[in-house]
Amino acid sequence: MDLILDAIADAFASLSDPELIEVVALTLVVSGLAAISSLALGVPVGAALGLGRFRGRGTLRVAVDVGMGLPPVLVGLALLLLLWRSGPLGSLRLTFTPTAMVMAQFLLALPIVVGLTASVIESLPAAALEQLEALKLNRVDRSRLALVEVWPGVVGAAVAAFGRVVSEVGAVLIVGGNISGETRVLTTLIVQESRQARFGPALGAGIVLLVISLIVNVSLSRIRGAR
Amino acid sequence: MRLGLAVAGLMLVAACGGNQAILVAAGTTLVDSGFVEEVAGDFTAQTGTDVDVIGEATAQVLALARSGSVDVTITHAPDLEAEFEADGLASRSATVFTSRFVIAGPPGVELEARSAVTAFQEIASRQGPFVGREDGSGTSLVESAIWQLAEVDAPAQSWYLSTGQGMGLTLQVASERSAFVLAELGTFLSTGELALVDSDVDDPALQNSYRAMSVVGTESSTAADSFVGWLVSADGRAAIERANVEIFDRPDVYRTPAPLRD
Amino acid sequence: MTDPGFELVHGVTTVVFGPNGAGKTTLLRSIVAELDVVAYQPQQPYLFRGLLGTNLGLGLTDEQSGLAGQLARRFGLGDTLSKPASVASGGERARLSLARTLARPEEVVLLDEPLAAVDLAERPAIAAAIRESLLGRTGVIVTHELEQVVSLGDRLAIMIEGTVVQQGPVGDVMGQPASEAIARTVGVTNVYEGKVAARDGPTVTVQTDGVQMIGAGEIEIGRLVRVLVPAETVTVLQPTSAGGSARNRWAGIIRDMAPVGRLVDVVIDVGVPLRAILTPGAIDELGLEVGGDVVAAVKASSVTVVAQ
Repeated sequence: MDLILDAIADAFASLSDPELIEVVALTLVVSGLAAISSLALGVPVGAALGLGRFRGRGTLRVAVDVGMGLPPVLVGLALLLLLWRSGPLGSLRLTFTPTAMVMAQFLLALPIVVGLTASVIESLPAAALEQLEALKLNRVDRSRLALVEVWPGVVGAAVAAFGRVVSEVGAVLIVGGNISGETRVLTTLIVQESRQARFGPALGAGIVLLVISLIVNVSLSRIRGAR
Repeated sequence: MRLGLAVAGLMLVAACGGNQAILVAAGTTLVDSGFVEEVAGDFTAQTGTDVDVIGEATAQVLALARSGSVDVTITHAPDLEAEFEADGLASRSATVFTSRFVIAGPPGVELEARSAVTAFQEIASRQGPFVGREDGSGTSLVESAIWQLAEVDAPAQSWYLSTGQGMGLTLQVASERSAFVLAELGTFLSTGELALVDSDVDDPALQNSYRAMSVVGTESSTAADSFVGWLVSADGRAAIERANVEIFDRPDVYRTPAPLRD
Repeated sequence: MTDPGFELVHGVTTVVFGPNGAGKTTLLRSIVAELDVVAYQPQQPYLFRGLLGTNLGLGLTDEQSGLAGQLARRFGLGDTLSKPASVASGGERARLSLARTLARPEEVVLLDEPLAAVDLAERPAIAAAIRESLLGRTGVIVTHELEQVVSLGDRLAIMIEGTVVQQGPVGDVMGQPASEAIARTVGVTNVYEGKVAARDGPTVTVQTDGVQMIGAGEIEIGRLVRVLVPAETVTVLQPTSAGGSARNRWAGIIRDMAPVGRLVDVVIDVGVPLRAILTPGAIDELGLEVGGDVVAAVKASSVTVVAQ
């Protein structure tokens, strides 16, 4: 019992550690950039998938379904292989950098954004979809109109994507390396601290992650409730 | 996870009422390469006692031992081991094999220094970069001891990268960042795809001794004691030599000590 | 889908009429899929987020938007265009969607139940606007209300169970069902064209080519109209009979009698051909026969007058 009580006491003490603040900032930046970039690509693709009749739609759908359940460590491994100095993209020198972490989280977030965007569009009433066709808009305008119609769902997709990547550890540890002050984020910090039985700081980082996660999920349910 | 599996394995063994099994916690350097399991396999073959192996940083290994969660420890942190023994927690202990630490760096960058301390000073004057573990492992304890002797506050430097993770990942980061790193020889040899070369600094300070200790008062303490005894026996020494060849294709990565210290 | 046998006649408006589930909407969708270049208003008007005015212009060029705006004002939507779409009533949605669809440039215009959500009082004006917009274009309008058939269509196609069972000019199809099944489904209705000669409260007197008819309808004098007289509402009397309160009483001669299932279809020449559906018992009792003189009586409330 003492172990747990001590850890909790230490956890709150560790919250004011400037290093933790640095880690929190990097966490938010990395996952935020990953979520934003996955939105930039994923929302249009998701809209096309949700509305579309185009070649390769079935394949894309399967790819998205598989991607949504992709194990983060596998994404990390694949990316590490690509970025490894003697690998195909080695000349970019991106291994163990925040950029590599953003890339990994982008890959994890993208299928979620595409899949959720497509499904909120598909959940539009049949009358809306039929009317959308009847308006004879060009592809871009049609997607835009559909997306505006389901915007809470699109924001929800963004938040869900952020929520997934911010709490993910496998991929960022593999491609980021948990380097202090450079690629150390909350999840990799928790792994590190708990490996060393420094349960207080581990729990402190965990509390911050939990708060972020709570904010994400509360706003997600608020947004989904909005209309 | 590994601990969970090991515990599950133990429970299974206990439930079957089979042979007594022991849980060995060793430094990740020894476990990641598969060396300890290879050695322990011979023990099981000879005695019928199952051995489960988990790898953790040295500090974590000793913390587990203090809580009675493991039966045998194999670590490489003389100060912490001495403290553990002084606290009367070790039933039996012995130095079972030694290796050395390697100061490795990017190919094409030769260090002039020939001692560990001067090599670290040279790295500092070049501004590294240097990748450290800072994870409570025996390797990181040795590393900080050398920095101290070199009178460099390395972790405060911008060229010092700290992973807080195991040897394998730390070596990867050093390789990809073209950085120097202090690595344990076995892990250095068993980690693939590294663009790092051994600077061949040979210094007694880079000597790396592994000490096995059986923990007092665990359920399997008898088997634990006999495992530690076996490690320094002729059979154990032969197993260690065989495991070297098996895993590293050379006989001299983990060398058994010539005069037995007990 | 099997070919329902619909004949798309260019330059006129065809109303597709049939019971619910007859496949009318499916027919429209198949025309949309086949021709592609059509203006199509689905049955359930859907408005997207934003203002009614924004919705009005969706998919239209500036010029077409201007036209849609004129139609919208004509449909009484002038004041509502700055309202958010989310607070629009069903009628407003329907009228707005209709204005937008009619403003489209395509030659073929398909409307699925365009007046279903429109208030009864507003229907004649909107029907007139539809007729006007479709003048010279090819229209296909789905409805399940007979009155709209008469107010909107040049031609009529009757659909039953996924098939077009009869199609042709409105008067022909309604007055002469091709089969008993059609007669049972849509009824037999006499349709005449004429001009309003007098108006008295909720009734009007229409001068057709041969006879005056009094029916329900609030339409100003001089307007061209169609008059609907359902065959089953026509009562046939002996020429000497004076009874009955029906305001339409026309003397005529029986031209034809033909059994329709258990009933008999009687065609009487009262100046124009008038069909009545009678029971065999009534025919025996009255001693009706081809060539005999009779009086046909219809209550004004059974006669519907619809503006063209």
